[in-house]
Amino acid sequence: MLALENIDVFYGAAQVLHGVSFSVAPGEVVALAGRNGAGKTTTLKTMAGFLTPASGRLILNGGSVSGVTPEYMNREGIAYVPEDRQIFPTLTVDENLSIATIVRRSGPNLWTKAQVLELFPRLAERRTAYGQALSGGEQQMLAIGRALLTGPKILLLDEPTEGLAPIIVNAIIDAFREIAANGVGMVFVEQNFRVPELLSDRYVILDSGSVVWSGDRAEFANSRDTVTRLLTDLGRTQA
Amino acid sequence: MIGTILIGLSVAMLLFLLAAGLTLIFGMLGVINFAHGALYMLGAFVAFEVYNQTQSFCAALLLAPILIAFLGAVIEFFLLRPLYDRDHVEQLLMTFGLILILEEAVRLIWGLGYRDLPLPQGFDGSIPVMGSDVAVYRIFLLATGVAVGAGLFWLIERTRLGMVLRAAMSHPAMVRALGIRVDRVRTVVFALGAALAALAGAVAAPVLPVQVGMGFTIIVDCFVVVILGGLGNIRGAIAAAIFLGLLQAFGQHFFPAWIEVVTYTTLILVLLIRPQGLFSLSAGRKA
Repeated sequence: MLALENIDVFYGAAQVLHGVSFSVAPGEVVALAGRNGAGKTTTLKTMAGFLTPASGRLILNGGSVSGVTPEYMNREGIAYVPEDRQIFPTLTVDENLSIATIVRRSGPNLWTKAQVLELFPRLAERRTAYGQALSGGEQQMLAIGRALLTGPKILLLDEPTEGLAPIIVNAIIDAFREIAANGVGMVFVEQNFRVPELLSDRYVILDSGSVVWSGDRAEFANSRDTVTRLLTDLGRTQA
Repeated sequence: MIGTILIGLSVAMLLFLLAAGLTLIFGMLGVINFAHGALYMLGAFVAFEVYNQTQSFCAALLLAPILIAFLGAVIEFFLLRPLYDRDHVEQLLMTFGLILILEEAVRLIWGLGYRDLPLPQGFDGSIPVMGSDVAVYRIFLLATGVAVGAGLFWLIERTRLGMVLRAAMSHPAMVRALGIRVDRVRTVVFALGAALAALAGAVAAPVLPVQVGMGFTIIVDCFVVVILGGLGNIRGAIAAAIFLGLLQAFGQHFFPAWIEVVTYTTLILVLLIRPQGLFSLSAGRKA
């Protein structure tokens, strides 16, 4: 279980997150939405260990991990897929996957390279291609596959379907279903709920660095107007 | 002609040994290590001292890089690591300060005079190559450069450390997000760069005067190699070292007064027209 408790995060003097609280458990899928600048990526980076909260606590399996390094968070089962994917351009597809297996790990969530290539057959066809030669969809598959090879209990995904062709989005959604079925928890960051709606157990909406709405699948279904308002500019002007 | 080419290539290999470390350190740590020449000088002095104690050139060649690698790891851990998130100017000042400290330390230990390391037995003659007499030691320099170059390629292209190095050159944060301790890799790379500088110092010691300040003369040429080759680019460093080595060898033959003018005009033109380096194949493929 990874939880944020009343987290405040600053970039220099500017406060970006204001008392953000929510949690995600292994096997659970949480969608984190909000408009541009709402603090979604900052929240994810904080959960991945890249940012240290000024106050509040980041809790992993009951213990505080505020201020630990990204290396530590990954070794504890938190894998991060950034929005720009950060595929290593001078490594082949195979090496981009292999590098994730350098750190020795154990546990039930361990994926093998063969499983990842089965999940994303396109990567198997492109094994010897360099990262810089991949299409956006291939890079996204590789970024997710690479994260899976670190044996995550929880996968943090920043806009994983952004800019991808619909057919690739469908392939990635199918992969997410399979990943979730394997007991991996996921936090999706998206600007809207189009993709997470198909997968999520819980929904959190951020605005100006604060959680402005959260609820489960049933509450989400009953609050469509509120959610839509919060994710459009209408919500901003009314706020 | 062939003699001039071999002289040029042996100079190139010495430049490559130094430039490889410099460019690796820049690629991995983002630090332009002004003190690289001082590590080269220290390598030459340590080689001289080891030879004096053991009368073995092999021991000098082996121990100088190992000891300077250890010093490099200490420098990275205590002096550079706290500065990675600071301004480049502070890093430059730190490495510049290191030059002063290392040179002063050498002066205190070995004094200001020249030191000579004799050519090792069996390397002191010359052999005819296609009509020219070529010093055996130049062939040895050439072979050392080729062996180190091949070793570096193996390390970078075929090992896990090399894979991490290539990955961290483009996205160090992502490497950390895969659980890999990038800080340790940085220490290893700085130590490796220092070892290469010391090896260059050790192999140069029998043919160049070992003295305080010897690093400054060659490090300027090394910066030219690194810039012509493209910062962080090992393939580029090899090509640029060969280019500069041959330029100096043929320049000595045909236009000795103009060597420096040609060298630095090339440098300026590259900085103005192709700042990514003359020999960079593409933006991404650096190793």
